[in-house]
Amino acid sequence: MIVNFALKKNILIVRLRCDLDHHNTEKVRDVIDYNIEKKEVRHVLIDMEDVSFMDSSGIGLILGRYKKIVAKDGRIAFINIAHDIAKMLKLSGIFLLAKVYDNEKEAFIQLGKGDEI
Amino acid sequence: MNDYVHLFFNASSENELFIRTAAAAFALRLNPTVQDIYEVKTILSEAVTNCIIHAYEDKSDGKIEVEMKIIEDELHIKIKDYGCGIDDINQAMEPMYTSKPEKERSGLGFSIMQTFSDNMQVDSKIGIGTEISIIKKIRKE
Repeated sequence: MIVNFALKKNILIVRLRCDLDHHNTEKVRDVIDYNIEKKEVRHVLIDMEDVSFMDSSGIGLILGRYKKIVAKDGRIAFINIAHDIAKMLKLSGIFLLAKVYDNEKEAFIQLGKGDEI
Repeated sequence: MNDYVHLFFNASSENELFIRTAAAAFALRLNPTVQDIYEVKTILSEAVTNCIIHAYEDKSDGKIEVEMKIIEDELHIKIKDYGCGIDDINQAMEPMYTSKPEKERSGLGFSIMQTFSDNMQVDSKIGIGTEISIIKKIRKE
């Protein structure tokens, strides 16, 4: 599979395992949305560990999911972004919308914070 | 004689991976950095995606040509299609502008190509096609 999912509380972990280009984003988009809609999801944590390439199609994919999650009052966050991909993401301004955390544990603590109030 | 390659392929998204990998492999003889390789791959990926989505509107029998040449420490790249052409090039190059928001395009393709290139030129004629010429210096200090 080019994408795997795990649900912990209301956080959907999306583990992408492919190049995020036009070809693959068209394939993973619907399956990500299916998981967001079918399960009790509020936040999405994107694990980029197995992504070695990403272009503007990948940015479009993230922005599209961001809109869906914000509509549910949730947030999107990243872990494990490769250095060269992070540079490209910086250009896109996407880090103004989605935070990067050091690891999964930290991401869970931070994403869970808003929910307690 | 400068080394060159000339690739001719159809507008299917499967070919995006092939073409950016081929470009990266061709650029290897210039002893690129990891970042150079990423940038070359991204330039090709963005350009070919534009041909597929915009020039040929997902009709996979469209033809795309990529020419690459090495001139000293520069990679010269030409990406050519015979598709619909770009009506307003300035608008197309505006960051965040996309003619296909319904397909979740970010509108960043041209901006990224420009940022990663040392020189980029776009020639387009409606109904004839588009040619993009790029110069990318490798290992510039």
